[in-house]
Amino acid sequence: MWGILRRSAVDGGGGFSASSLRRTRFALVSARSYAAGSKEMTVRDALNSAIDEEMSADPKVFVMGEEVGQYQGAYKITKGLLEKYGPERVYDTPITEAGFTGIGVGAAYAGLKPVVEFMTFNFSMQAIDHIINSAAKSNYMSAGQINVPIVFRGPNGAAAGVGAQHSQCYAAWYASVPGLKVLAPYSAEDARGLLKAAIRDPDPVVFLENELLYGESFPISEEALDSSFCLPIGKAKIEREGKDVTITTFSKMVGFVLKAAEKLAEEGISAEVINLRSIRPLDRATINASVRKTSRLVTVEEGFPQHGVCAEICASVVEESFSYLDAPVERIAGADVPMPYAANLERLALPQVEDIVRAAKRACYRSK
Amino acid sequence: MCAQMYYRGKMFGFVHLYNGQEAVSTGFIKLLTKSDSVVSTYCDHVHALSKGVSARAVMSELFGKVTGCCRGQGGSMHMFSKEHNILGGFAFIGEGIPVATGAAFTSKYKREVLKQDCDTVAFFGDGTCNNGQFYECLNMAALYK
Repeated sequence: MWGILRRSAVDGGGGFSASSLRRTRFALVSARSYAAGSKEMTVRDALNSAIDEEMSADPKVFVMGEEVGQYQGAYKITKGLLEKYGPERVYDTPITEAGFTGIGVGAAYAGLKPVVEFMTFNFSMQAIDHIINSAAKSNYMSAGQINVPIVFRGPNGAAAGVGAQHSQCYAAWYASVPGLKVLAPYSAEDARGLLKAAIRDPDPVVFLENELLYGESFPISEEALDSSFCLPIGKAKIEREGKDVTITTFSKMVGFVLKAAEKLAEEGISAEVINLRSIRPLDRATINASVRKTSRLVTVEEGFPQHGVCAEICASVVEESFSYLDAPVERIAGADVPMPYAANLERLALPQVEDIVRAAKRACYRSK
Repeated sequence: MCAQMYYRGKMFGFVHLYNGQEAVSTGFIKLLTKSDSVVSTYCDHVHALSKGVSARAVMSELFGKVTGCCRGQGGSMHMFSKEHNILGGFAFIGEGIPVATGAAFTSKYKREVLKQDCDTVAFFGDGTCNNGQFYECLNMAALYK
């Protein structure tokens, strides 16, 4: 009986009798997904605890960056580390990104495990030569003799009203480089597990956080709180299962897409939400398996549209799952302009929940 | 000989010669031990030889052969040897200086935190003194010494 009611809701756009049943059933589903883990943790605390535990476990791990020590971190991610480990392991640097990034890379060549913080990834452009030419390419150029176990971390993407030079998303730029791994956590569990994996990894990792997520709390399981907890690099997470359309995204946009999925569910569209977690290597297997199930794809990101992460996912799906697609692939990205300052313009320049809902409905042939 | 091979098309891409400047680096490198590190520029052939990489391995690398010190993947400008602690071969002016400073920083860290010992030498030309990174590293070397 439930099945028949659900089918008619999908076909007809929702009858009155079906809608209340769907809402009840939906409420049960959402209660189930929050049942695991009664503890909550902010992303900030998750990152701090991850760095703390890795520094405690391995004396070769050290932290370097602007304001990471005495100021406790520009965003307080490295709070308490200077007091705990001392100035031999937590280095405040002058405002010299090229210099300290190169020093971090050189230290990694010589066997240490630096965690280099950029106050935002916009400043990494001052040091990008070292990230790409000294770190990413060395393992290949040296035919495997030199490996560079370094992590470059910091906030990425738009914040709130910080203007054009402080709002760019660098996921696409770094993810195009062979030799780098690029990670983008969303929840506290992602932040903990992926940062620990990044610090333990023998290769250079670009770890893209998000300033607006630092203060957000997420439920966290006992398993994730354990000091040996680690998430695999290169594996996406299906945040919400669905059968009508696949929506992929990463970082802050995961929250927006989950909200969009709830709105879509009210209209009878069941969206499968994939949190990429790893931009390079991209989990093409999970994305394609999902598209082969749903036959429709919407990719969402905050960054500029041309040559973006979404473009790569669309290409991968068209190359590998073309015959499974029932609709053209949809791309929702930031506007093709430098980020404006005014709050109303900034809102227009970034994907919003309504844009994602509209794209998903377009993919399901529900609207133009 | 490298110049001749280059003009005959047997070596390709970029080849930068160090003719006449060998004495300075050879003198320095002879004072280093195997565990000390050298970071160089694109004129790195002689540094690799002085540090102990075999002439055969260096020449093979210049010809792009799999028997080269980096299996032909690095080339003239990117000589690396983990065994002899040659930390590259960098193409951009001044690029090697922060890397060398980092390796020297590691010496200090190893001494203070891990209780081990080693040194680093960076080679670069006078043109590099125009480069911002050079001064950034001088500042930080003094700051962290």
